[in-house]
Amino acid sequence: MTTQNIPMPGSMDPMEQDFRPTPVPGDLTPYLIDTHIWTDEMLHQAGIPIYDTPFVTVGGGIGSFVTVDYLRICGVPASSLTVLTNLDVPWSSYEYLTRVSQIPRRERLRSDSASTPDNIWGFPSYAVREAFSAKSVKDFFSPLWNVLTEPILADYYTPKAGHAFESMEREYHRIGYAQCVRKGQVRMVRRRYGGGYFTILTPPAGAAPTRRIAYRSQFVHVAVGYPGLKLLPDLQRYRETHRDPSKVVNAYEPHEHVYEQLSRRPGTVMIRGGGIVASRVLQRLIDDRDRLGLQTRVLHVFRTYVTGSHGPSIFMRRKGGDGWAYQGFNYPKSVWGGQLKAKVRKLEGAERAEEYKLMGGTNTPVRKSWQEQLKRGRAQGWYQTLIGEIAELVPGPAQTVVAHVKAAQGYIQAQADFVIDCTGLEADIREHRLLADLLDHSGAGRNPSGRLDVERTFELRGTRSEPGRLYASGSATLGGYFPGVDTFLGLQIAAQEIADDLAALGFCARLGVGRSTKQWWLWARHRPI
Amino acid sequence: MTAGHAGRHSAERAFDGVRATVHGGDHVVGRYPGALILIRRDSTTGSDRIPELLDICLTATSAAPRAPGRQLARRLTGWLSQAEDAPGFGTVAATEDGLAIFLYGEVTVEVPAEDLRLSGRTAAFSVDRLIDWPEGVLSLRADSSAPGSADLPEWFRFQLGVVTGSGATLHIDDASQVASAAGAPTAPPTDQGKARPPASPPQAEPLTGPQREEPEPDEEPETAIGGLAAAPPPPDPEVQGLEPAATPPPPAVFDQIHGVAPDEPQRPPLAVAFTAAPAATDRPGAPPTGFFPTPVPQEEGTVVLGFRCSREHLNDPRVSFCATCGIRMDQRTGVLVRGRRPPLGLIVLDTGSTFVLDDDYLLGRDPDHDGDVLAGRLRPLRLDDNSGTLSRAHVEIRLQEWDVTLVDRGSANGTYVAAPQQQAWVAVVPHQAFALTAGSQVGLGRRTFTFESPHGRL
Repeated sequence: MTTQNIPMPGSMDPMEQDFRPTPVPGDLTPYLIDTHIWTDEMLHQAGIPIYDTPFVTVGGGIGSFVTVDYLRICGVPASSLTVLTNLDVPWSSYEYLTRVSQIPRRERLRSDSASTPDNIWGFPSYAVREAFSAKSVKDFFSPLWNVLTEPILADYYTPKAGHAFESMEREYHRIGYAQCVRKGQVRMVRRRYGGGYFTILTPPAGAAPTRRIAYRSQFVHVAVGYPGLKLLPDLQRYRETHRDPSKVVNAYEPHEHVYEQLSRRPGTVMIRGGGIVASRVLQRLIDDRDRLGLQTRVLHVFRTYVTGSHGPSIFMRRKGGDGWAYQGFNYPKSVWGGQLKAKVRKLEGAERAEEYKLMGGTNTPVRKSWQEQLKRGRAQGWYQTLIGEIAELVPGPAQTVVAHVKAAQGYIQAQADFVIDCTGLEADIREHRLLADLLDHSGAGRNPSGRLDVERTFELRGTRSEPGRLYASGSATLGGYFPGVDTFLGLQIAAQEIADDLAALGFCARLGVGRSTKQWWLWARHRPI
Repeated sequence: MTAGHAGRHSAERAFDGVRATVHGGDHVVGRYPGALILIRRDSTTGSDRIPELLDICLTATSAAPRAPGRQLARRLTGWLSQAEDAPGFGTVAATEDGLAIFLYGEVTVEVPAEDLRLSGRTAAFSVDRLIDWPEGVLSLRADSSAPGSADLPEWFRFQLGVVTGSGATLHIDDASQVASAAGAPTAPPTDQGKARPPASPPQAEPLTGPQREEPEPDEEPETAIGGLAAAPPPPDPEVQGLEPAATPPPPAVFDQIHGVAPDEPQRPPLAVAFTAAPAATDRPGAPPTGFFPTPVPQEEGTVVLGFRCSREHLNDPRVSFCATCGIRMDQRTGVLVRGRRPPLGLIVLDTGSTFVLDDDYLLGRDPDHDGDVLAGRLRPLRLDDNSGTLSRAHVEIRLQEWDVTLVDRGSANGTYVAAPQQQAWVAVVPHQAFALTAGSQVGLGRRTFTFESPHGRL
């Protein structure tokens, strides 16, 4: 599958032209940029210093963290692992996005808690830990009762965001993660002639004598997450044309001023999207409405309006209603360890893409309190829905925004004080510079869902540089043999597959019963590895 | 909230889509979004009240352009109770499901098709009525004996503004209003429904009886009332005989729902939305949107050094996501470049008003007469505070590179800042810049505001 690409003269990415003049010592040269497989000599000639390390992980978020955690438990010393990142701590990007999308540390996450990123065994679970750290009898029994009776009597249990971050911080210190971190932006990963890879890092200005640094390693792991927020074209156009950042916002960016202003005077908010973030934003709006006695009105624009349960068969059905598609978590539970995991592992090409389409799509967990809020809103008339797509946003009278919504009946104008876009994060892997470079120069390809094509071991198909391996995990690999990669458990399962593959190659010890038990005991006693 | 999907009936009767024509004369006729006003200009009344009335119309229609009727009536009643020498005037304005008519003095409204005649003279104070959308035409007149505008060609159209005249006619059943908006060819002169064949010649005085009595093909008016159908070809009397055979089949369900004939050429509804609305804010005489204290600055703006995201938007070098498009800033190696600085956030006043920070401001009880404001270096932002603790020129908000800073002008009672999620207030040292972080609260006098920023940092 590996293809040897010979660069054509002049076949350069226009983005690379920034690097044409190279006045700074140790910078990339056009020759390097255009060459797919590098030799050590080429880097020497460019004046880029080379540092050797056995294993590099790029990204430094939760994907890198759980992979390093797994490898440390499998006996790899911290000095053999290098994390290249811009982030101060692994959860900083995740915490930022959850915080601005209305899940601060004290609120509960809305994703699956079957996995604990700080603990590869998942035992004891968040609920048990929460119970045993409780300061009252009620707080002790409440989480345990929840997990015993979910999802019939109670909603699915999820941990508080702060609980997840604090426990990760404990593990962060226990495994000596900080020793592995090198700060900077990773520009590219290229195969090395003779085996292994070069990872090019741009350290912070003034931190190194040269503009770039190369890490030469046998193994590279890429877990860079989403390239950014998804701001739809009409939203961007509004901001650029009217230079007004306040009226039209994305749910994943700071928008506290919306709630602030609504608490001071009545207003109408237009929500776009029907996923988890939309449900959280709605809950915040309605919580504020109830708590402060506000007169906030909500106009919810659905592109696809779900009217009831849907699915191809009685065994594959998803609840729905009032526009929403409901699911416990963003995937059916069985993708993490049940029949869907087994089924998708065997599917190829179009069949796999079709299966993803069936189980995926926009959905949100049912939460009783939030359902009650919306029901009340519908009955009292302050929550209304509209089916269509926003075609254009223009300023309206009296500090409002007028949205032109393309609906089945034609174009409808709707006026609101704020538009909150809850359509999610940017998913196109080419928007990420590092992933685009892997596609263009390192032999990586796309899977049937358009993201990075990985093997069952999460090795990036087509990029092998014997005896080295290039792995990828996280949202960039969605559509592979394992669904649910962009969840905590998905990241941990990817880390497990990678560790197993590396153990087979002799890089780390296999995690057998003895090692596992001993390591769990160390974890439970909070003893450093 | 004006969701605008209340139903086809109200959608087709959008007030601003109705063609209006002005009758010649010396009084004042004005049209605003959702409202029409006629003000008498007699020698007996001073003309100094006319701008006040026009201002009321502007304010009410800016606040609720789709249905300003009720609000306009409320404001007019309030104003009339204070204005002793008010001139005679009348307004016709849209409500959610009909029209609101307000008449004072010698002004009349006539709807001949429904035999409706209202006059301000018949009331001790004013006439204030809500009516359903009438059939035919509606005339607002200062002088009922003056000639109307019925015989004006269809391309006469009074859409927005203030002109002289003795009255105005709303051609409510004139379906060409939509056709012309859709760029269809103009039909020959008629102020009656486009579907109506010109079997009876246009009347000089249209107020003679219900127009429905005109002979008309079976289904045509139904389509026309749909309001969104394409304009028919110019009526040709010779073709009239063929009409029954050429009559289109009854409108399909598709037409009834969509209001669009299936074979209609591409309608340009978006083009209207794209061009009309932004133009309205750019036009110097347009009603102010009220967001910016002054119109959106068109000049180049402040140039600063920053990083560009992979989609070329300039950003604060410290942020993690582009404030314009949301892409992560690590998609491109950071190289400082010069560019126009985007707005640095906004302040939310305790009253709920917001101001986008695109320039330096001076806040206070009376900042307009400050030297820096008069010289154009600062924008004034006047705050009402009767407590006596707010200085005339109290504090400046200065944008320095990518930071928003406060500079207290040496105010008598000082300026205080509470950091995000903190209760404690910290006094700002006078004449020294104090950098604000997003979410900070600022207290000056008895007033407070919050600074918020879209520039997210991890």
